[in-house]
Amino acid sequence: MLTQQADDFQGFDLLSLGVFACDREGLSICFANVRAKAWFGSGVIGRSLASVIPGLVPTDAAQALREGRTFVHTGEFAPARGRRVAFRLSIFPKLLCQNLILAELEDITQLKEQEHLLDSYSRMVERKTREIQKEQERTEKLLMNIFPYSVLQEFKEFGTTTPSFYDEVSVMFLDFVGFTRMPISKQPKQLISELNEMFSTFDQICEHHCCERIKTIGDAYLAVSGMPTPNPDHAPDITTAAIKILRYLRRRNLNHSVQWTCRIGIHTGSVVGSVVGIRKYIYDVFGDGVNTASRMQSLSEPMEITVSERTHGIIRNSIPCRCKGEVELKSDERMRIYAVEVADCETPREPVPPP
Amino acid sequence: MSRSLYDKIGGFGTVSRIVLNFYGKVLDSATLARYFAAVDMERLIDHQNLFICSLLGGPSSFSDNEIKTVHRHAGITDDAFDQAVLLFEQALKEEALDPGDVASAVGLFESKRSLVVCG
Repeated sequence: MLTQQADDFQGFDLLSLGVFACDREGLSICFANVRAKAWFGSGVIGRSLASVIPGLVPTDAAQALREGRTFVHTGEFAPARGRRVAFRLSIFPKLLCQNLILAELEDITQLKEQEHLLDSYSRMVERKTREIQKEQERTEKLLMNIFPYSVLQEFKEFGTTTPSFYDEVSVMFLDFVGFTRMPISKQPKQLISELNEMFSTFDQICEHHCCERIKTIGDAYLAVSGMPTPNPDHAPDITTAAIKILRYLRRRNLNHSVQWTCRIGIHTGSVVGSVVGIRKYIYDVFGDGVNTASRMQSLSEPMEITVSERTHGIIRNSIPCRCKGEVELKSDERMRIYAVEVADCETPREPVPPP
Repeated sequence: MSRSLYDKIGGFGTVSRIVLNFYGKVLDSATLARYFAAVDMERLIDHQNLFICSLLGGPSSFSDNEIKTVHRHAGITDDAFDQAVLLFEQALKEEALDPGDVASAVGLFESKRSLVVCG
């Protein structure tokens, strides 16, 4: 009798949807339209819908139908021929006639394919974005090593930086004594490890005293205070940093086999700061401030800090110094120079030959 | 920096159509469909998308090792790969791409043969 009724459903053959008429109790198929048969074969008549539709749980469907709800189920199947089909099955609770209900199967393959493709694309782009972010952070970290913070901000914002003139900043120049004659200079690995350790500590000391390391050149170390971020206490700050560096080296020498001895020079003067280079950037400083600081360094005794007259004029009330006499600078100008009295400075273990 | 083929042919707008077209052609192909019978739609589309985007220089980096791993147990033969190259070429041509770009893309696809063929 059901088959007889099913013949009345031939109109469903005109639809592009797959249509099943099933008995309500067991969801046994008594009619499948042309599309449904094309997908699942003619043998579906008499079988239960659950055995035909992958993933369909009959009890869930029955529950929904009892409650008068349309049951919806989505999935995929591989048809007898052709590509996989993504489907949405809807089973309607309303009786078609007698005990028969209608189930329709919509082909949502194209929709699903596009959805999956978009998901794949989103994941791909998100991954790429994360990679780019990581790369950016790495680049920024690298740039932070080269540029002072405010210069980096300017560089990021405008893609370039303007050279700046600083009228009064303090510059510290440090150089190790007899470096090239030290046996360690022939052992690259140990040498770099030692320099690394010391320069890293110098960096920390400088940072703590509002100074900024500009660069290291071999065994020389150049730091400034008062630029590019203004610091009214640039002279006492950089001198204090220099004292702490000396103390650190002294303490270090007590426990290490390799003895490092340095000379430090400090001058307060004018400086131009700028990013130099097009492909290989470096932030560098130029001018009288730097040249004179370097000269002060060369006038220092080992483990001594020599400051220029101008620096001394600023720090004389806060940091004790003794006059070392007068020297002639390149510009025929004469200048008094001073040695900073570094408390608890012991003499080096071994006398160090002059440079 | 030179533009990638991916950007040159119109970015993801074009590539998405190529991926779906190629995907359809592969599954409709009597030779190739059997290799993917057990792979679900989402995974296959994802792999083909990553593979093609990476091939054309898009925002994906499907490494040679990954390509090799994914196809390791598929037992893909040289004949099957030939067929895939042909279908890929058709999918590209159906997007009316410049013949030079089609040839470049097919060349890139072909260059992965040794990573995919293992049968």
